[in-house]
Amino acid sequence: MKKQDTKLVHSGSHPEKQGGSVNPPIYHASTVSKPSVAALEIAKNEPDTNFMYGRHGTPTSRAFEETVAALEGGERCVAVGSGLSAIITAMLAFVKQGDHVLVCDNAYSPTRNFSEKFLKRFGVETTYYDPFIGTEIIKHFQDNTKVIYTESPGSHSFEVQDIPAIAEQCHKSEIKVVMDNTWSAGYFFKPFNHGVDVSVQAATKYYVGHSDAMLGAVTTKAENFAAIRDSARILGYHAAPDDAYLGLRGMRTLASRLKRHEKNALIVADWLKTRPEVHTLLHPAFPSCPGHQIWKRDFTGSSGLFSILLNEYSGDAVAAMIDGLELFALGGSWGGYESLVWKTQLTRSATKWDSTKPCIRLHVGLEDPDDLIADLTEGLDRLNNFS
Amino acid sequence: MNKPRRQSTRLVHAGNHPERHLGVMNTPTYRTSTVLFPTVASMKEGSKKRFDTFYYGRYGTPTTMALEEAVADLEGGYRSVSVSSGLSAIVSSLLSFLKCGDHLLMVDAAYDPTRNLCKGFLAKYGIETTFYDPLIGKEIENLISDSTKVIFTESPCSQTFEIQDIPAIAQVAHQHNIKVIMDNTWSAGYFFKPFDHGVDISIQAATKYISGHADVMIGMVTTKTSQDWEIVKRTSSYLGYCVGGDDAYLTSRGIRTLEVRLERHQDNAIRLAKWFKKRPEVKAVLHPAFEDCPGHEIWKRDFSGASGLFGVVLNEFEDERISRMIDGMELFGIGFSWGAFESLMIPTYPSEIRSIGDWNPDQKYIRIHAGQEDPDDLIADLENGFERLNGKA
Repeated sequence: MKKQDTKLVHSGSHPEKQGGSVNPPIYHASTVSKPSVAALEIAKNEPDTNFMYGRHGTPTSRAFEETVAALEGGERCVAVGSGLSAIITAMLAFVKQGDHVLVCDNAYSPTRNFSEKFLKRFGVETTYYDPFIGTEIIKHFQDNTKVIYTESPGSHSFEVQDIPAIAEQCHKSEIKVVMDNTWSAGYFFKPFNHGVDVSVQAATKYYVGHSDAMLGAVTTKAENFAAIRDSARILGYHAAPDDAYLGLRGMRTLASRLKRHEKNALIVADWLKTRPEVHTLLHPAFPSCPGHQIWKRDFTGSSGLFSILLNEYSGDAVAAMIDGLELFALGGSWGGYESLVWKTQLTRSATKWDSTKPCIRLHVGLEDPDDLIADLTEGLDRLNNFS
Repeated sequence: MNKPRRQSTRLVHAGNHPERHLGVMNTPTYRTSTVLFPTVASMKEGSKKRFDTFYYGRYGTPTTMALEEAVADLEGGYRSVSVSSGLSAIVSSLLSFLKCGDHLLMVDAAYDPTRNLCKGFLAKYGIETTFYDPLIGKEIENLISDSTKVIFTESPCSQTFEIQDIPAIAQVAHQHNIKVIMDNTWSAGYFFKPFDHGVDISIQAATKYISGHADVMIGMVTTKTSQDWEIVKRTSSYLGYCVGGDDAYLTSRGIRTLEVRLERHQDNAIRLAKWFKKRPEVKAVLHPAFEDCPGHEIWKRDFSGASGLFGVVLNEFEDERISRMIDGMELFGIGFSWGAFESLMIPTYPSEIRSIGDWNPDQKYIRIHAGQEDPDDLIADLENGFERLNGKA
């Protein structure tokens, strides 16, 4: 069994099938022609192993899928066009009209929208649950509950969930556990060792790692693969070849990048913790983060994304702080090489959230941390001097 | 970004101008030939600044200019010119400063394509080449004639890893108005700052570490001065060298992770070199960070680190045994180039190319590129390889 850094370099690489080239070619394919009707029939019957039609995957997207599956420790992966598509693929694989799903209350807004605007319209009911619920999740089970959607840590508020405890209860009632594993990039948390059935990732984030492609990945154990594949197929989801290529290209350096993101984020967080402007540091590797003990038990490290809650400052003062940052760019998504800042507005329905403390999310990039701290120091000066 | 920033920060941000590209962090990929002008007057105006504005695809696009800006920043030079391969970078830099009747001093460790260029192409156009010992230092003065215009250096040499005394060579060269060109690919411009050590023109096969993923052919020429940049840019444009939008994009993409990749390449290569050093099958390890390597003291003085490529001299083994070792490697690929995420191993034959010095053809060399893998797995693969080398497997 190779170690994970080696898998990241070699998985999905088949030089013998591609003229010796280390990397797979980028197949821009719709039609795939076959030499005979018999060959076409074989391809149709075994579309998962044959190159049958562009939308069903090309050798380029398969190489990406193979690498993701090896990293996450699942059997198979299906690549789709975005992280949101990956979430939807996984949820719709297991529900139909009249079913019930459980969604963690810290899920990001596109997931909530999907539940409230789409699932509801098609007769699927959603209950939001407290991310710290643990074994108590059983209280929310109904006869028609089919899926639980978890995300750990939450990508704005960073609660670390007790996935093994939740999964144990769910499996007694034949409920599928879907987890958004984007924050750990499948590198710091191994979902299938902790009871997860389907792991989704916004590959847009750390896998691609350069803010230049939209890509999602759904990884499963063998028994759920057919359901996931059919769900993606029916929706017409697939990954474009250039994007799949960039996703794979990103994975080759994932270990090196993540270690730097981790190190830089810890340095910046450690510094922020000492600042009087900061009320709470929400970084799973620090005891102030809810679920820190679970992180210590289940994760092997931390990535570059975390939040801080500021003391009470006006919205304009916070805007002045953020607008003047030179190295922390203001933009959505995260996981690319560059540092980002985001002012978070949280929507909660099952749990309470104190919105008087401005919540600022940081993604710490590959820059020199001294430069980043200097940039933030000036930002906090603007925050304090705003009048 | 007007503040002085540290290297890591500049690698992440240099060449990016989100304000020019709708807020998008990365410069878009322009696949461009024609550039349209609103009026004849603006077309005429554009032709006067064809190297500085977006005038015609072959002269450069925002995508190639972003890459050039980032590479110039990395190397610490005035400005860069991107061309279609490392060899193109060698050719365009040499032809920028040589003409019929001139004399070139070329490092004897230069790889085959460069030697062929000197002996074939340059000779055909009346340019004479003298090959010199890479360890020559200031003694290079003895080889200089009135017609000498260029000294081409490479440090360390990419098969035999001699570190050249670039400052000593440059000092002599500049006393004679000779341009010093350096192939700086091994350090990636990260571990060696050419313009602080007397180099005039630094070239790189950006195919290697800068693009870093074995999926692009691209070369970079970076100059210290604006005058030299004009000359190189004109020469490469006349030669029709240009870089495709996708390749320029992927190379800029590579720069963003250059530092974290190089740190891992460095750590892994040193781990492997230490392992080789302890093995009885190994005669010498040609890694600049080890004392066996000729010029190790100069490396300590001039370089801030080491990349992933190094050589190993084996004790006497039959070629067939060496082939069995290499053929059976699971993680080390057999193939040319280097600098990408994967590990490579090839046999090298310096005695077949060197013209100066005593190169015993029975001496067996292999060259290793240490990739991004877990080093324990690489060492396990090498241990199995040495079993095959010893005839035990």
